[in-house]
Amino acid sequence: MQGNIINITRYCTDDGPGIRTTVFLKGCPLRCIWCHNPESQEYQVEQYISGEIIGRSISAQEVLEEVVKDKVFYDVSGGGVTVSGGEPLFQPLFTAEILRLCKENGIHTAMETSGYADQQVFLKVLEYCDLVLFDIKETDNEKHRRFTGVSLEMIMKNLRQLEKAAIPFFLRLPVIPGLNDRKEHLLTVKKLVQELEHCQGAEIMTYHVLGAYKYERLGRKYLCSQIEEPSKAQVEEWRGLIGAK
Amino acid sequence: MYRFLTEIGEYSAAGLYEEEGRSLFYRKALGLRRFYETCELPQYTGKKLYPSGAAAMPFYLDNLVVDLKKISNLNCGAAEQIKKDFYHYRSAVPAEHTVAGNMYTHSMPHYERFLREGILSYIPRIEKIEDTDMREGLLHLVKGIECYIERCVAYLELEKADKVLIEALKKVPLYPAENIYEAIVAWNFVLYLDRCDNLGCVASGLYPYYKGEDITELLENLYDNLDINEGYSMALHTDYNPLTLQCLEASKGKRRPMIELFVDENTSREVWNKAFEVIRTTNGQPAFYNPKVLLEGLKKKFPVIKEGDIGRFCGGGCAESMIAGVSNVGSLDAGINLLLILEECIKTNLADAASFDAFYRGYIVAVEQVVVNVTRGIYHSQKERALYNPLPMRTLLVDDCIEKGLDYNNGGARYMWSIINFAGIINVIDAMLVIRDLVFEEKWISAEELINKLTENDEEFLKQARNHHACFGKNEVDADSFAAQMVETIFAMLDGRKTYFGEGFLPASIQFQSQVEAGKKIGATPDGRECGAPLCDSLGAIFGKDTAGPTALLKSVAALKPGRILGTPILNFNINPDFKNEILQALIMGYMQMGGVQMQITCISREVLEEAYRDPESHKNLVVRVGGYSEYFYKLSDELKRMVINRTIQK
Repeated sequence: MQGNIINITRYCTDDGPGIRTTVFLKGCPLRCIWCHNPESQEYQVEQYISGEIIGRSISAQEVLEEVVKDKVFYDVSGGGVTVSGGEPLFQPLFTAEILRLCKENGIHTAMETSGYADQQVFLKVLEYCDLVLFDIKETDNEKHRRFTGVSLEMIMKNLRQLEKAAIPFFLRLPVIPGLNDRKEHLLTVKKLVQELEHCQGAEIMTYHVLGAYKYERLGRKYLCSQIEEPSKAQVEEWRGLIGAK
Repeated sequence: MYRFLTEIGEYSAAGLYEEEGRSLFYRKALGLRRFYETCELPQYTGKKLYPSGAAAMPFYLDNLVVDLKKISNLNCGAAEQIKKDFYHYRSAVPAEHTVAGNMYTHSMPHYERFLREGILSYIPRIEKIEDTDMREGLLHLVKGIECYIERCVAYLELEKADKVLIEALKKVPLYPAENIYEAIVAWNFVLYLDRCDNLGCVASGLYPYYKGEDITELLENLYDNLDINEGYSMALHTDYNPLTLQCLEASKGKRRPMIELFVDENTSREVWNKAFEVIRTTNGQPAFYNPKVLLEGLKKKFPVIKEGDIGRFCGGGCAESMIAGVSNVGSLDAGINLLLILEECIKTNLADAASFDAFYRGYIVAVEQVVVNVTRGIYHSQKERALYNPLPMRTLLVDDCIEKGLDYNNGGARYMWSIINFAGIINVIDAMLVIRDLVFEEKWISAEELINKLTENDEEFLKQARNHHACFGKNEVDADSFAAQMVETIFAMLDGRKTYFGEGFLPASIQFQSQVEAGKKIGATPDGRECGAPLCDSLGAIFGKDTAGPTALLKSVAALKPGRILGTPILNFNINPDFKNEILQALIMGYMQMGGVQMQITCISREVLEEAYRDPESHKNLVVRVGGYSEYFYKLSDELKRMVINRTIQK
């Protein structure tokens, strides 16, 4: 089973519990205007203007061979592998195969996803997940469509399915000053956290400008170039609103 | 000589000539007695331990207290005579292979025995020694120490010092200790008798006297005494007790001792958290040790190690493997400069080598020849030292010298293995990979061109070499397996070789701060190292090359089988201060599970290091790990400072 990836990064400590290896898949159906990994949006292997290649084709087995190198660290830390992107559900068979192989080898599996996929596809991949990091970019449908290019409806349906599947998950919130940092949105997320029994909590993904240069390298315009990074106090305030620990 | 030396007030030197017909051991012991009877007493500074502060004790490596300069100014013939009689021992180890050590021996008194039995109880044991000169010499030494303690007590009474301290010193270390305060007073006193070298196993040694007291302040006093006298290390084993936590607490922010904390899967959250609290004070303490690999490995290598002894392992000096109280271990006897040998091979063999295999085999043969010469040099040095450099104080302080009736340097100690450092291991690995790939496989550059580029210190080429895809530290199968087989081949050269005392050799990778000097003698090398630049300072990747993260680095190091390097294999690891405890613990335990032996961690940001470099006054308390020890950053040479700054700092 082949798929396209950006890269495989060892020693990730922010993509789930413990020490993890994160597999960044290429391709995403969303077009979040703040995306700081624009090179992950297109599925095909492409190039920066400089000629540097972005992405490569790889088999699920090859992914496993790379991921399994750090098994000793997963075992001692409660870590494992996280499939992220891009959007893992954009290559559902590839993602499912990676996760399946990892589970077969005793490796804890996590998927970081926007939740934007056909429900059957989502449920199939979920079978191989020990943990899900579920992104919530906006809780207002009209704004969601404006900021990401897609509707919220399918995402929220999949969130309910995730809850039904009784798989532990975290809600991940990219919070962008002036766009989705509304109190109303954050309180809606807080309510979700309280309602959903298998939700372990919500995490703020602080907006940063580190990815802005990549747009230039791709010959594209970065639509959020005017937005500044939030202050520590602001981030603390958001965390307080969603009830993050 | 005796009268002249007495007249000029050199009483210790005079003691050497009081009975000229006696053995060197006896004369040195008598010289020490006269020293203790007449020396200036350490100043009382109000501390709870006495002595405290800088020591004025005999330098332990030769047990002589002689101001040769003063004597020479007054009578240079007398100075020459003293040198001829007492200072003529010389090392026979080839000078270019003494990186971090040249017949140097750290020591660790048998503290626990002094606490348990008291010095005066040694007299009946000494009286059983058959050798008259040794017996009477040691009795003189004990008398000297007894007199010294009496003088100290009288001085403290005059100074109206703390009554509790005075009462303790009236008892210890001459008689057994009965409570924790007496125990630590005795420990400190014996430390000073041994010129403050190493502390041994303090937590387990003091624990029998513990009744719930908080002795953190006393431990800090003890540590400060070790520090001011440039002493070294201390071990905390997995038989944790409340004093383990106090020992860690007392070490916060302190440069010394280097604390060796043994950890395993049963280590409690409390101990881990305390250890990480200390790490966060950025002093590089404690280093983490693996009991399963290190202690089991030593027992397997040396089956003579008694079961009760292995729990008193303490790396002396930087980290040299020894058993506290019962060892005379080469620490370090020699330091083989592997990169120097490679440089020579490149100049003489590379151009004519038909293949990489041929060149590599030639290198291995050259290393083996050096190993033969060095081990031979150690053998002869030990033999000469046994004849010409008796050490009465260490003979008294270290077992089993009295039982055997043998001087410390003449086979008296219970364990006497020799440790040889290997310098430049990682430089050689990376250099070999460049030679293999660029010269022989890709044929990108000829041997002659490579030699020219190195001779010219060609920046362009060296940059390319530094960026070569195959290098150690990224957990790449090819590089790691080459590294592992090379290292095994080299260390296996020590197997079966014996010292003068019939004991074995252990390899180590402990550079202390010698990697700077060692590098100065070597031109540019194919690993991308510039002419004169320092060698790699530990088993970690060369700076900046560990680009695949800490787990990949640790896997590469584990591939070298650190459990083969029982003398100890130092691994320097830098981490940002915002680390999570559970993650760092997982990195340490993951490494240990793969066979890792030791990790020493500096917790610092590059910004702070750069700031401390620019403005030393701003961070005078900043302590970092270097080679195998910890040092104030401001005290390091410029090259060592840059080396520490250039290390990869993991998040």
